[in-house]
Amino acid sequence: MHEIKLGFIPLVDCALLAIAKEKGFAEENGIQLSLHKEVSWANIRDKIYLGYLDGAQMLAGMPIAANLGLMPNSCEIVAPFVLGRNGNAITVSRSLFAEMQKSNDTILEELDLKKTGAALKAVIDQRKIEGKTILRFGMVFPFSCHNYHLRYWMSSCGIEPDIDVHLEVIPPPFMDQYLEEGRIDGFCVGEPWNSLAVEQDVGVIIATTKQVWAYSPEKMLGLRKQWVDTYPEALNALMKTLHQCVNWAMQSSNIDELSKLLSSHTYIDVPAEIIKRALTGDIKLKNAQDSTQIENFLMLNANKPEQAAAKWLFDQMVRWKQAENIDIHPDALKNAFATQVYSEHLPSIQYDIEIDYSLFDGKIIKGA
Amino acid sequence: METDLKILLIDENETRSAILFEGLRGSGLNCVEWLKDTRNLSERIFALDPDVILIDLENPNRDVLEQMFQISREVKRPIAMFVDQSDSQSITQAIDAGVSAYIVDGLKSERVKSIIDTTISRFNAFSNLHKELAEAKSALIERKEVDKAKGILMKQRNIGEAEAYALLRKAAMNKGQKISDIASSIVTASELMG
Repeated sequence: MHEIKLGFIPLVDCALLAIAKEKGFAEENGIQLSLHKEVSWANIRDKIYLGYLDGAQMLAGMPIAANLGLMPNSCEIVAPFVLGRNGNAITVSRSLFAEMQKSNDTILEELDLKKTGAALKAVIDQRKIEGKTILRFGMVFPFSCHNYHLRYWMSSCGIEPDIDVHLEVIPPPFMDQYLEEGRIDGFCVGEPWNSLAVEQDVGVIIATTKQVWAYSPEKMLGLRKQWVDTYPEALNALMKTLHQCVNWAMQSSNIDELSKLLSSHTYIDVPAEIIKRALTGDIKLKNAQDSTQIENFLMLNANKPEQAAAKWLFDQMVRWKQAENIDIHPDALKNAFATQVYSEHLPSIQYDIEIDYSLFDGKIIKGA
Repeated sequence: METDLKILLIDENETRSAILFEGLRGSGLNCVEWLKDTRNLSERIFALDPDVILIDLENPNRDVLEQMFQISREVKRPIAMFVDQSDSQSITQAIDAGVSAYIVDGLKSERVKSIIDTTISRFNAFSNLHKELAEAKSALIERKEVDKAKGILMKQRNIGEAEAYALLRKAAMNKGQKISDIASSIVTASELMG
């Protein structure tokens, strides 16, 4: 048996890890999998650095930041499997939503990022004239797609993310409470926290981040490079396991069971009905309204990491001054998004999804 | 001058905070601030401008602190976890104890080391205390169960207390179980039988 210790954060995109453990796929492949629920990304990083964990669910920016030495307590990370693409949303308080509606009252019907951005900009401009306080948005970690997507969207719509709004890190379970108490005006977070805000009628989902780029890798399986080099057989078993989990998760008849599994205290501890929304893409944008079907809201398939995505994330780090655009070691991004490792271990996997690299503003992700 | 070091402790546990507080005071550190409520953490850290931040590992606000590595305009000086990153042994000890530390760059490492050591030993002292309390509590519950089971046996079999206890002990030995386990099955069975 290969003993593997992996960390996760209670979010819907920990699904594949939960399936591996609970549906017996890990065991079938000779893996004794122990999953460790962590409260912060910093804990995950530190415990991997110290060898308490072999790997973990990671924000897509984390393996890159680790390999470039942008975070403390980092060791080299190999991330060979995308655990989820998309799955985040942008939620605003009911009062900010009402302000946005003044310039556009069909935001939710259209779900057009440019128009939503224009409505937000109109509010920001108006507040400046009236001398009102700067709008505050919560996101989850500096090296997260939440941070980059919010910034990309805002700046494309003429909003300066470092000047016109205040972006701050808030742990996902606190987002709803902060929004309700008026400490923030909106946030970008993964599920189930957006749907929970809608359910409690403290917020309105105005956008999903898949609108920025429809195939954005959101969470990766990040492993210590040292572990990957030492245990190639365990890695192979783990890759096969995860692929089987994807096949299981893709069967729509399993969605109810998966929602229920994730709703338990061991994983997310939020009612299954709310978790199910992200898994079906049947998203309720506003309380007491019919839900909207959003295609590929959260993708648990299309798991091969691609270099173009790693490069795009690195470009965002440079753009927002987290990293310097100096010559980086070529292996840093190759390990961070380990396309080759995926292909070596799962050579025969062909998925029928054609990944489109165009962003919402018409630009195309380079190197795709 | 070094006793003027400002230390910020972020911990929701009041008892543990009090234990650490006392320990740091004992080593001559008088500027210790304790934050239980972590709302608006960034602003409050900016206002306090601490040299050392200690935070319990189960606090999700660690990710809020991480942002400060990125946005130097929020705090005057960048902070990093531990002075010397190669000192992974003390990081390991800290993680085992359940605490993480953030330190302003440029602090003398011996001074910081003593703060970290105090923190680790106090966190460990707290968890030992916690364990002892839990054990004492469960011992008390077990004793109550044994007393109840003895009472049931004495009544049903019309025997004395010593004999009832001997029966329990014999059953426990035969089945390779704890006396308290046998006792609770007797209590449960008796409740079911009415």
